Amino acid sequence: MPDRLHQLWRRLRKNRLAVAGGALLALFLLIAAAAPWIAPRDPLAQDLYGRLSPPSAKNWFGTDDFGRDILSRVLHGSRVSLRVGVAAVAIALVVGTAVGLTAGYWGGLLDNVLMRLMDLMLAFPSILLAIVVVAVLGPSLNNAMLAVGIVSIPQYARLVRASVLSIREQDYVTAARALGARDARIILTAILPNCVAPLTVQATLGMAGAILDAAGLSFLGLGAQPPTPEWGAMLSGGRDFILSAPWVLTFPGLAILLTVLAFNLLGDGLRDALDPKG
Amino acid sequence: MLSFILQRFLSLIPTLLGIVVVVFFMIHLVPGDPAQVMLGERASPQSLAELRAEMGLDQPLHVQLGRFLAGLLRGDLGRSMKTHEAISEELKRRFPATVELTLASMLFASVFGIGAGVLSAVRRGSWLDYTGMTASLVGVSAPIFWLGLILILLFSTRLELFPISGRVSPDVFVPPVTGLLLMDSLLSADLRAFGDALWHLVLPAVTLGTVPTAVISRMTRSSMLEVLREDYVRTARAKGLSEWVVILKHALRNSFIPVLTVLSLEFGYLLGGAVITETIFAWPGVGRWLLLSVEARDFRAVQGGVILLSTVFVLINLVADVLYAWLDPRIKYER
Repeated sequence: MPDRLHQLWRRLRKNRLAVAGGALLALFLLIAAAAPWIAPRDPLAQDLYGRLSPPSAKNWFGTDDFGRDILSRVLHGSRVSLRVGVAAVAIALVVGTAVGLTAGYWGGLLDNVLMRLMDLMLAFPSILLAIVVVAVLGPSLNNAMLAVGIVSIPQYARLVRASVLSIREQDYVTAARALGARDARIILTAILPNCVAPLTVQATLGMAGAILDAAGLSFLGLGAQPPTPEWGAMLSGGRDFILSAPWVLTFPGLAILLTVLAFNLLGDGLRDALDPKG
Repeated sequence: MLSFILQRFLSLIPTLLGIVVVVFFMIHLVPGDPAQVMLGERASPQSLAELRAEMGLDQPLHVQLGRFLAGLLRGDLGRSMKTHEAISEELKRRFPATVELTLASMLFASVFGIGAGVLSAVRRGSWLDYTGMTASLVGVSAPIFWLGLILILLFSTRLELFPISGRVSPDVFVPPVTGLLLMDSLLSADLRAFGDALWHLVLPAVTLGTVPTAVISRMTRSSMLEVLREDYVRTARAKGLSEWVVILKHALRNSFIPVLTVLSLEFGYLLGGAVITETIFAWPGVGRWLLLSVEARDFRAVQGGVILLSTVFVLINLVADVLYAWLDPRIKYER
């Protein structure tokens, strides 16, 4: 395994776009970790005399309609986006893997029922399904996370099931079974390790999608609520000042774009590095 | 072929039924009493009970579902809890706006996506390829709610090239026939209205079409690259056909199947993305209405809108499936 990791790293390093994505991502993680220390001001502190002031030496990204420092809010927003991305992907990954394993490994009626359910979820335009979930649960950041996680479950379930089906009949799995290994052991030692590579790619690209969708929900007023410094919600709040204070819109949007781009670049690079044929 | 189409049509039934049942149960999980929402806080217990009985809310859930399904077959989606109007009527009024927007976005995305993908594949490794693929990566990553606002900022407020919102200027009237303004204005031979509607359509369609353009161009490129390596492409070239005939007739046609899959899947994105785009541009379609209904906690309306848009998505996937069979004679759908 360390050998394969080493090889993966070598291939990834040669891909300039993936390296750029990785660097961007590292910067994003660093900002998220250090936000409270590097943000020049409290992201919630209002200054009603300094409302909507343009970018300046004092406020690099300008201020919003409550006089809050946009730079500080954008920096703090990285933490919110990271949390949303990780939580949504974790939900989808865990549930999707469980569904895919169950369906692929045991097959039969269970497989049929589970996969039809996944097909049904895919029959909805995903943002629409997420909107319904949030509408039902009530608008909040946590519910937006949950909704984005739920609607991505089928992608992981299908991926894992396909891997399981191709591995299940391999000789070494049959051998393990003949030796009397229990299902749990076969799944953990023979099957899951083979799903790790495609899942890593999917999860990396999934982070991009989750951050984007959750920001979209927040923009629509269905996710993070004011005054949370969330990028989508900041854009939503800045809409009214598009004429007078475009900086309120510019920076949170750029932050989303760069973060999502970083995950997409790295995900693409990982996919190419793991599949040298492609 | 005909039996395949028929079979595929029949397979729609469980999917559509599933969609309806899922949405119905999700909406009915919402805590709170719809009758209370409709009549307000100070409604008397008696009028509440009457309304509940009238709406069938006093019945067990499976009976309510049965009634709802029976109503659906007649095209009845119930009444809006807010406006008290028939939801099917509200949808009928707004659906054409959404259709016009999604079709325009898809047209934009197909033309530019396939065009950029083909050019990138043919000029592989050139600066054109590099630029195109970088642009598509940025396009996939761009939040469309931000992109739409930036386009408004640049092209509407700064350059004043396009209107900020709406489908037509207030002084333009188009007699409704299909509800699609571009078509209706042509039907009434009103070129000024046609131009006005088109002018309003540009920014929303570009906003909504950006992500599909990027996805389609990437798929077209990789699919074309694969096909361009095939023997029959070499044979076609060896026959002395011009390069563009080879590319467009031999290569593009054969690389079209994966592209078609992406196209049909992107329709799902467009129908969902319409909620965001319509909200930004105050576009009077189903998406914006859906969001307003969520905000008003008008769950009957949400239910109707989601069922409509999901059904459209399922139907588009069916059309795509039939198109595969038509495009690729190797695909046989016999079981």
